[in-house]
Amino acid sequence: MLTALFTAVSCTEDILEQTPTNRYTDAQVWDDPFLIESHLANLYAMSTFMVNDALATYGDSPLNVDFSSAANWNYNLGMSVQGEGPLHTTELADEAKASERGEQTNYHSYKMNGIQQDSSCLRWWSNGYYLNRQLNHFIESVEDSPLSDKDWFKSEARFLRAYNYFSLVKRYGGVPLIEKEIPLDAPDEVMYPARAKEQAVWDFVIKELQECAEFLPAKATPGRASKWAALTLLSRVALYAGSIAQYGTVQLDGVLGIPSDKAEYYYNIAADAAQEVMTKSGHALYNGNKDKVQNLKDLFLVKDNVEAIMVKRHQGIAGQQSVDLWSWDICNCPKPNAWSVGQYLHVYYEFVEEFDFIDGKSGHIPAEELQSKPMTMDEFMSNRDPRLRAWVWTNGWSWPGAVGAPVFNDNTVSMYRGIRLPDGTDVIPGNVTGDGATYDGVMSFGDQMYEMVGAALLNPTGFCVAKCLDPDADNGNWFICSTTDYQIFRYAEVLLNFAEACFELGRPGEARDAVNKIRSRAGVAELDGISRDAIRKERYCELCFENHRYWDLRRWRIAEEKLSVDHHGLNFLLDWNSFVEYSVKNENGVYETRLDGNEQPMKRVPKFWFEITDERDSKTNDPVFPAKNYYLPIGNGTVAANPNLVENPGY
Amino acid sequence: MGWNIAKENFMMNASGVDQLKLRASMGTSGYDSVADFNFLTGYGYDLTYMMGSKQYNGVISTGLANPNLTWETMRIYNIGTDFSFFGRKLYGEADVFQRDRTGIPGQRSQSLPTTFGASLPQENLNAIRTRGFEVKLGTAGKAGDFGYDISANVSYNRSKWTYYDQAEETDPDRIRLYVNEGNYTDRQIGYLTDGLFASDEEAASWPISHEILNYDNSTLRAGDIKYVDLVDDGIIDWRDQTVIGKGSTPHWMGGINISLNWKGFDLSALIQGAWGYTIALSYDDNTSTYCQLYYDQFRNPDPNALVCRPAGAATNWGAFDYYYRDCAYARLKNAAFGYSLPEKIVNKVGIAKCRFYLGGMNLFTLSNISKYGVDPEATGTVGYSYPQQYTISLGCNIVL
Repeated sequence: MLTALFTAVSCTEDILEQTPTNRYTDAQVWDDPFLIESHLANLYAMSTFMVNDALATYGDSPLNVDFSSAANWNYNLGMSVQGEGPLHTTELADEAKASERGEQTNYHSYKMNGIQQDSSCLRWWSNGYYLNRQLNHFIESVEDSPLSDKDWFKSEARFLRAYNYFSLVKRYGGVPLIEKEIPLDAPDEVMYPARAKEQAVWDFVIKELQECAEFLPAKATPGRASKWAALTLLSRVALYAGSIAQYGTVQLDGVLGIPSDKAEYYYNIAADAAQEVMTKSGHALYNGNKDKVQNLKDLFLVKDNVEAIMVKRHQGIAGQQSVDLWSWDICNCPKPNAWSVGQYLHVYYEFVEEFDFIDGKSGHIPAEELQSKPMTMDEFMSNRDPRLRAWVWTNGWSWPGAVGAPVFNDNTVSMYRGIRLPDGTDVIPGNVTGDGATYDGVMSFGDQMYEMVGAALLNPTGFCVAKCLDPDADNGNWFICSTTDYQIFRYAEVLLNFAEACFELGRPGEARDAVNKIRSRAGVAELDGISRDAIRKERYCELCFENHRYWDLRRWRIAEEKLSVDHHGLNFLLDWNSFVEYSVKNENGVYETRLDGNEQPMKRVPKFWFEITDERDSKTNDPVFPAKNYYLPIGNGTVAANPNLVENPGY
Repeated sequence: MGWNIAKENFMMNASGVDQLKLRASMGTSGYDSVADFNFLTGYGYDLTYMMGSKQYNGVISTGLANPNLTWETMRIYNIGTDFSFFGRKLYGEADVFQRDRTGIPGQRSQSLPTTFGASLPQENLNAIRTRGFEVKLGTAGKAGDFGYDISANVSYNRSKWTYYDQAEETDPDRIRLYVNEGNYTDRQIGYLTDGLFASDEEAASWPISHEILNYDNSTLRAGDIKYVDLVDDGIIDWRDQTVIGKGSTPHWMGGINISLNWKGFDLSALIQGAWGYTIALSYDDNTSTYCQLYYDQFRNPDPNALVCRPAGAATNWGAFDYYYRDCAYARLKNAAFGYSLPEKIVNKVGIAKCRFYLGGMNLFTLSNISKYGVDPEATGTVGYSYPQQYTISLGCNIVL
């Protein structure tokens, strides 16, 4: 009888105290080192390392509140917002224009009109605070976990929180600082926080990074933050704070801006943090290949190389849906590729000219001179900064599988826009089949131009992005197959942060030396003197397409000047005379390559006329960067939900 | 609680009363419509991330939990009567009930600032009241060799939100359309329409403009839906919506049960019907049956066609009454006619009972939507639901 009673009681307990089978409980997670690590992995995945790493409409993730209107992205690019990574800030800056195809037109419109109230462009508010809550919970809970290296894990979460606040403050200025998980029954002043002063947010990020750098390991697993990652971020953060103090204006009682007398304080922090990485980290500029151009390509392709301070890895397995996927290769590669996707970025000719010639002379050639005579692409390119040749592809660039015929040899990018005849008339196609599509049986536009001419609406600039392109990537299959590591921090940035901070602190010698290390690695002549413009130009060239330029222009407060202008491109017009030098009509009336003395086909060395074209962004108006965009709009809905939150000026 | 009046002393002499009973009941129970373990915080799989060469399946918090979240409470009140008079010459039952579901899980509408970093957990907030009745009347008896038992029943029920937590509305149109509290749970909101445009000219000269078309009617053609400007302001926008349907579950149901016998012959039948519900006609254009319908309408728009112009104006999408049909039907659900051989005969060959019969299912239907090829008992897109079967059977039952 007693046994029966006890059985009944214990049975009842089992029924009422079941362990869930559809989730891990809080207690299970914080008691299991592997689950804690898996949770941390998720927090890394949610961070904004690649501009806006949040997913558009990822089914189960709550992390999609800022992007609900961008449902199309998901389909088109397979988790594309983070899949493309730094593509979007590149499109907004004076580096390149969006290709005007598909969703790319969205970003094009932000460049033409600025970012307006409630626009989802670069939005990182709800997602940022969603992540912040998780990080706060992590930081609090890990204390009582059985982990043997609690300080390390906690510091990683603090690093991610600092990165997250950096993402917020560089967009919005002062934001509410929430360092603890808010309980549901919190008092109103906690639940409805006001914005902290901008300076307080930068100071918080700086303090956190200084503290967590102490506990982070000197060598971290790729994908995770090391001590050097924290210090590199610290140098970047302090540099940004310094320039906002120097160039910004204090508004809204300090919710925006930093008093200008604080600039030196921040530049010192930036210089010191950079110097610690330079002297102690063991990281250095990558110099694994003697060939300068190849070396600069390998820098992004050789995994775990000495320059990479922190990376985000990409698994490259088609069909999976997550954030460790990247579409960079297929979005930027030349043809051949699947679905004619590539060439999403068209690099402005002004930016091409920013790269010096190898001997240190300016890359700018006066228009009259450039347009006066035909040149081979080699004559045009080969004496320029190897960085340009490694990171920008154009007509005549080598690429596996690219169709060069009939003008170039195989495996060569062919993107001429028309043919210039001996009498000076141009044959320029309006579409792929109509008048001017061919001249004497020869296509009057290169293979890479097929989609552009076919769409008849594109204003190509003649240059596309090659940085990080993997020639072995499978671009014929699916979008998100890049396996390249994205370098969140690399050593070159440390040198440039150091150079800029030193220059502003009145230490030009150190600044020049740091810049010259970069130029020497790149393979261009070193500088004798140094100036603010030279440092900025070096940063523009070295860190192009890596999500720096747009933010740099903002913190220097020169975005209105640099981004509210018309941009130019180049048209390459095949010089017919040079073509017929190595081509001859056969008995069927088709041009084929002439044979040389040894009965071998001659090398095809076409010459081109260079034609500078303007109005690449729009035929009707110039791009606009409105001054209000130095601080992005917080958004109507967000402000309405919290009476203590003021919107940024101008929205 | 019941009161069997027929057994009271004062009724003992009332010879015509076989049974007369009054019933009243009230019960409370829990109702488990809450997903498992929603009262617990927890972690579920979310994003993957690479650390070194290893891909981690990240876990992330499933959100705030409400430890006080419980099952709903369901309380039922019922009053009824069972009666039978004059040896079942008249018998029946009648019931009236009210079912109150309270504590239905919902999310509080008060929105917290996004800086909070999580959405509010589910709470036991909302309430639904369902009211209805059931009546059954019948007569049974014998007249010589002729036996009969005929009964009819009818029932009704429908539910209203008695409490629904949502943002307070001030605009009268928003209150009319979007406030759930006090309204039926299954009302369907949408636009009224006035058929299809008969010609391109009619569409072009239509004086009303659509918000959804940016006030530009140039894409409207013959065969596109013609909306009714309900608030009469020259514009079709959300304000022109109204209640256009009452749910696809019938509120009224009824039936007639017939059972007759004469000597060895027997006849039984069930007629059932339902009314007071709405079906949205929706034809799948991938099925061969309906593809012609779309094709014809595309080629040669007909203002009386069942569907609006395929690939037509943007206004051809959404909830409007053109496809909604108020439904009512009566159906001879089953019927059987049988003859049992006299027992005297079959007993001689060692058989207790032998009956031959002819029966059928779904023999006959009267419905206002049959003409569209839609079965009134079908749900969902036409062409997808499993059709009701019409069967005839002929058989013989032998009991040994």
